[in-house]
Amino acid sequence: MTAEKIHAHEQGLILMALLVLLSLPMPLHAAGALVSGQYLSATGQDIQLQITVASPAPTTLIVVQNLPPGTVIETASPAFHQHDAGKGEVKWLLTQVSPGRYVLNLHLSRPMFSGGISGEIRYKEPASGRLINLPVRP
Amino acid sequence: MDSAKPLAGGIPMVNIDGAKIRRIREEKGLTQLYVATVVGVTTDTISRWENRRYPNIKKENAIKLAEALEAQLADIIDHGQTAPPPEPLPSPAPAPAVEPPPGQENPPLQPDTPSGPAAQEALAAPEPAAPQTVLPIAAPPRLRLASRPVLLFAVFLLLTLTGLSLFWWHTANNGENQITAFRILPAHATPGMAFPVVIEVTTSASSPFSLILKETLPPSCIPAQGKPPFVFQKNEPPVLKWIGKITGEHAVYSYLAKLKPETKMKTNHQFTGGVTVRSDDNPSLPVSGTETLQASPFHWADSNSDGRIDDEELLSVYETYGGIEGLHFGRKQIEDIWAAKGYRWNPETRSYDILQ
Repeated sequence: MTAEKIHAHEQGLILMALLVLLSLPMPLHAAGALVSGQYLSATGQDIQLQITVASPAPTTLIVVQNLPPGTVIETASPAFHQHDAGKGEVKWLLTQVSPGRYVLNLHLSRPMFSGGISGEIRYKEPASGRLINLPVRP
Repeated sequence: MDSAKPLAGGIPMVNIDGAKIRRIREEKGLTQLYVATVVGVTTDTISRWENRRYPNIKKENAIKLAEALEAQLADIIDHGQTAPPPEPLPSPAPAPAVEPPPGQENPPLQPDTPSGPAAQEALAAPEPAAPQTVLPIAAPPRLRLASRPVLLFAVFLLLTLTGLSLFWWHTANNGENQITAFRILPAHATPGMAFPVVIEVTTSASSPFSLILKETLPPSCIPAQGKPPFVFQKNEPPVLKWIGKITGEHAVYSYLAKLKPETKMKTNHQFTGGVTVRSDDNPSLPVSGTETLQASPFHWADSNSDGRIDDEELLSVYETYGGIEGLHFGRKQIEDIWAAKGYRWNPETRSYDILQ
């Protein structure tokens, strides 16, 4: 190995050590999202939306379920807080949320075809207070 | 000047063995004066060469010295590979210094150079270096550092980081009694309707300490529930006090209050407060954050005063006040307004009409 190669090798090691040193004080950010949603059932008369909440959990979630306008809801579990039949919009307010899974169920009067629904989860990010609008698609 | 070989200007230099020179000279019965005369330097120079272990001198002088000692050049030079420490100089000089002429007192710590016209000629036009006598000498550390800007940058960066770390550590340790208090107050509230106020106290202290939080309400304001309970001084203006102990980094003091029903709309009302930790050396620290509340027909949770409570306003209310257990800030009414199309203040009934 020549002297030049040794010199370049030393410089590379110094730069690597510096990069490691500079990266140490940086806070580690959580890789995954705090809240995620997934349809367990998006067709037929029963609509099931599963919401997964990680830690640190936001204290409150608003879940919006969009249905075709005029859709009649026979039952809901848990009970929703808002329903605009003309817009086909249903809203749940989930308070005192803790990490875990939540399933929201709707039983409709008529079967729903694929692609007819969508959802949205709204919450305030605990660390920043930023409003998050998380769309959920079947 | 240092012991680099050859010197700037191309003058070949060699290291000689001082002890060997003295031994050869004494074995042959030669005086320092004789050797100095042959070489063309002073006796002081010869003495200095002999007394130093491996003096670094001009090759031309080394050849003359070998002749004076009736020896070979190879017999008097140092054959070691490492460079000796450079001879000290009286002062830094950009060009090689010239030894004083023979006969003149040689000042101490002068570089070893020949004198006379021949020497000047040698300085002006250096002879080609003799490969067998010019020893390879490693570059001095200063030159090596200068040739490595990355290393210098690394040292600078490390020193900067160390300085910043020390500054942070110093600040963190000096901040044991540093306290901040921040008030969260709605921008407006309807006279006669309760609204919540939160004061967050944050500290960097590592051990528990006691404090007194004092909150002065506007004269038009009536305090209600406190979490934790406060001591109420029914003055004009009313004053709330909490005396407590902070055991963590964060403490929350909250209360409900309402503007007097007769308060005129669109009037502003001022809140002030302070935190006292030790009255002797730490005066009361003011509570920062929102200080003014306006009397308004809009609900305090309707922050944009549009006659409805939307999703973001509802989430903000729960994020700010929802975690305070036992604080009855009108959660049910807020949810009812959110779930409805809107609301309107009814001055006759002194309540909100919810619009379905």
